[in-house]
Amino acid sequence: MEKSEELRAIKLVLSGDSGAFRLLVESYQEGVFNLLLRMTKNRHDAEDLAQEAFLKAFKNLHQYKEELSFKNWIFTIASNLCKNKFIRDKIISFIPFISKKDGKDIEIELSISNTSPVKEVEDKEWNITFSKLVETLPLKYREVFHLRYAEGFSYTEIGQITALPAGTVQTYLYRAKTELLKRFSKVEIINGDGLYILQEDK
Amino acid sequence: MTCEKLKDIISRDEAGRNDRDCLLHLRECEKCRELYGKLFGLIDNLKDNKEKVSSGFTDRVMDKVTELKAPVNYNYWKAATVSLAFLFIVTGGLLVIEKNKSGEVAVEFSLAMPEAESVSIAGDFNGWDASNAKLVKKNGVWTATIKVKPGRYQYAFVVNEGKWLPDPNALKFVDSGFGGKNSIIEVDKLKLLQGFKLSLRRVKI
Repeated sequence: MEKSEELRAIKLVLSGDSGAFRLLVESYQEGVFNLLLRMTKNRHDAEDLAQEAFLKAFKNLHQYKEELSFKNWIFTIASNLCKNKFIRDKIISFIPFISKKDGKDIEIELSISNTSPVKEVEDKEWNITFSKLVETLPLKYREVFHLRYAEGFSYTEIGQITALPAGTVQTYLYRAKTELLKRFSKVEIINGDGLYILQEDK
Repeated sequence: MTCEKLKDIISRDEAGRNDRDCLLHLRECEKCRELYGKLFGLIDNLKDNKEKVSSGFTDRVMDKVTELKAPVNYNYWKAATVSLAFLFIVTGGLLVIEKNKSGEVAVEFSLAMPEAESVSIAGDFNGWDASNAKLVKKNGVWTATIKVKPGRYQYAFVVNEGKWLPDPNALKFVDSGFGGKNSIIEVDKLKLLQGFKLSLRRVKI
């Protein structure tokens, strides 16, 4: 969405035309939803939080400052809402990360989602690509990783959204990548059969 | 296992300063090349494969939006100008100022907002504690008289115990540091305003 178009929509909303807010929702709903999905790993939570983020933005639109990008602003609101919810509701539960040991599958718990373990394993989403490995990263890493590589935000912008210094953002990105490299060495994705950790030869 | 050199390459990637040495290593080390390729394959995948929101999401948000009051961008400078214009026209006193012997000045703060359920005032003069400075409603106008020593103070109203709102009748405003505005009251200068009244206007929240 062009900046001028965005500002026009914001001014219309502030002058009483609430319907103009639709343009802003349509422009950023996918980005906001995908960030929240990456963070919560749960479609239902991600949509609820995305809706809450847009309503919060609407209610506080008079505080929006033109010099900031609306995209940064709505992502900041979404990120904060999600982290507050994680803290408030302690939505840290577990899904299994299947490992093979002695020919048997064992479950390794990873803090990712609050959905049913069985359902998660059966979920086709898990079997598609390596990109799902991002969801095995700690929340703080996968958030900055997503903002950088799925949304293309600069270090400075990510710093504004996550309230982290740009140097810390850079460090988190480096750690996220090295963690992913470790997982590449250990993980195999078998189509239709989920994620497997491969035991290292001793 | 991962070569240490690959971690170095990734670190340099992040800092935007990879060099010929790094590129040569990638050319020579098949394992690093494979892992590096997987990593960037994953990154490309993130950009290209985004999930869609469920159908009707926009409508659901907009349904909720229409249930809310529209946010209103208050033009503070315009408000100040209007206030000044009224200053010399109407007699009385929005800010009723009386100086007592100890040098304190009694200032009456007013906010015309009949639909509000409660209004308090918080500022430098009361340690930003709105709990002990509730305004009283009469004929839709909320008022409170507070004694302050001469000086320059920032303040704001707290409407319905949660909504911060600068005094639209103030003559000066500053950024609150929380994305909004605070009003400024300069008590010495207000002596000049004694005996005058500013127009009361209804302010939307």
